[in-house]
Amino acid sequence: MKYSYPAAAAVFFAAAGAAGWGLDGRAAALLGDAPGNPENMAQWGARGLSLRKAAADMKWMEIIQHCGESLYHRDHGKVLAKLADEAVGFDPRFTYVHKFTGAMLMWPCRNPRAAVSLLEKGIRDNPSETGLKLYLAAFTYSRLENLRGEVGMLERLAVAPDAPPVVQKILANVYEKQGRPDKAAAMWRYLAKYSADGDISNWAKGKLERHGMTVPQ
Amino acid sequence: MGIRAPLVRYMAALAVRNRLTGLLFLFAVVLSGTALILTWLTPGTERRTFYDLAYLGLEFLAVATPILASTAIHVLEFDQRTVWLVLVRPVTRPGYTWGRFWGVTGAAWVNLSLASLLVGALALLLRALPEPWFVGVVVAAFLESLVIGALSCLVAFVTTSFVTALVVNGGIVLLGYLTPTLHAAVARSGNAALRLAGDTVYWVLPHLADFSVREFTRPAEGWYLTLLAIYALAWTGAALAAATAVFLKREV
Repeated sequence: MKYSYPAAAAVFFAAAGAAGWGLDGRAAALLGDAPGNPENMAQWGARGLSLRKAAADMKWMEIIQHCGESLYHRDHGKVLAKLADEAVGFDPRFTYVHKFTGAMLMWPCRNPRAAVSLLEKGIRDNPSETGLKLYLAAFTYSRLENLRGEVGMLERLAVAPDAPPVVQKILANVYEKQGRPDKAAAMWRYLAKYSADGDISNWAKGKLERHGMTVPQ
Repeated sequence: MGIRAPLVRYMAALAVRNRLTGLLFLFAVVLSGTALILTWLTPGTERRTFYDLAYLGLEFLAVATPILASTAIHVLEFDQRTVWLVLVRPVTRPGYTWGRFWGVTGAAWVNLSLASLLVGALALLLRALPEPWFVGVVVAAFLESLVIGALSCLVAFVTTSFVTALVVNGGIVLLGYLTPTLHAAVARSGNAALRLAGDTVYWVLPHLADFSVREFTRPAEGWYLTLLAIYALAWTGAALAAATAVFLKREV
């Protein structure tokens, strides 16, 4: 039997093209790129050469080493925020970086704006990550004097269908601390009536009773 | 076609005995060991760090072993003309091509199997199992080495020297990885010539980045791996058929 190798190569090549077309679409979906990624040449190269996770790991090690220096917080976390931006730029799903660096920026570096900005970016890239929402809620509540403008993000998170009850509770506390009793009462009523978490529901009812407001049944 | 087991064994022995192949395996061992050590420097993300680097090592082996084994054999056979000693026996050129391909790929698979076992053992040491990516990454690495093995065979028959073979193989791998990203980037540009160049590269080269399932945010599903296997087999078939066609016309 005589084989025609160029013809066989052409048939296989066409099959490869067809399979590759389907494969690329699925691979892009499984990569789960965040919008706007890649933003620069380094990210572009890391993505192209399939080195995103490894590059993010290297940056993460740099973050840890930087935090090991005794005076790392002297610049109010400027370098730390830049390193974190680079790490999550390579791999936006590396939420441990958002949490750890966010906490370091918030407390030792006393830079709540950079911390909140990093967490907001993390929430945009990972909408289902509850931990980041809780961190943001806690940060906003504890540094309310610096973060009045950031309550907006918390409000958006609190009305989402999958909003963690703790975030809603913290938002109610934020309203109370800000001296906005109407908004706080609305949150308490909502939590008292609809919260699936019994403790939070009871807590909201207690708040309403303490302020002499009607408790919804 | 006459695929001869002794020929495959001969080629595999050449590849396995080659110092470069051994050196590569040593590199994979060092990389996996380094991954384990680096976990001490990344508290909180030990598992992630270990797997990211260990999987990178596996993929590196899948790409580098067939290329280096193939080019090393190239030196022996074409530069030193030992290919004559094989072809004076009753071996057809297509049979030689298949034997060469399976020998080189077999050597890569031996390396990959050992490295996968090593990664599994180190993961046990780290108590990092089970890891849903592991099977997908190993399967994709084996499939990728199949494609690279076939392509390096084609390159060996097209090029005339060890250095050229190495450079062309390196270029194919580099562009093969960058292709999907490059294609997406030029698709956004308004330049028609640039878009045509991007489209050409996209359709002419294998998309090696699709084999990097370790980069996915979710583990690859069974049907993705099935499609990947079809893709790898189609590329292997195309490259081997082309390699045979070239070798039939080549003077040695």
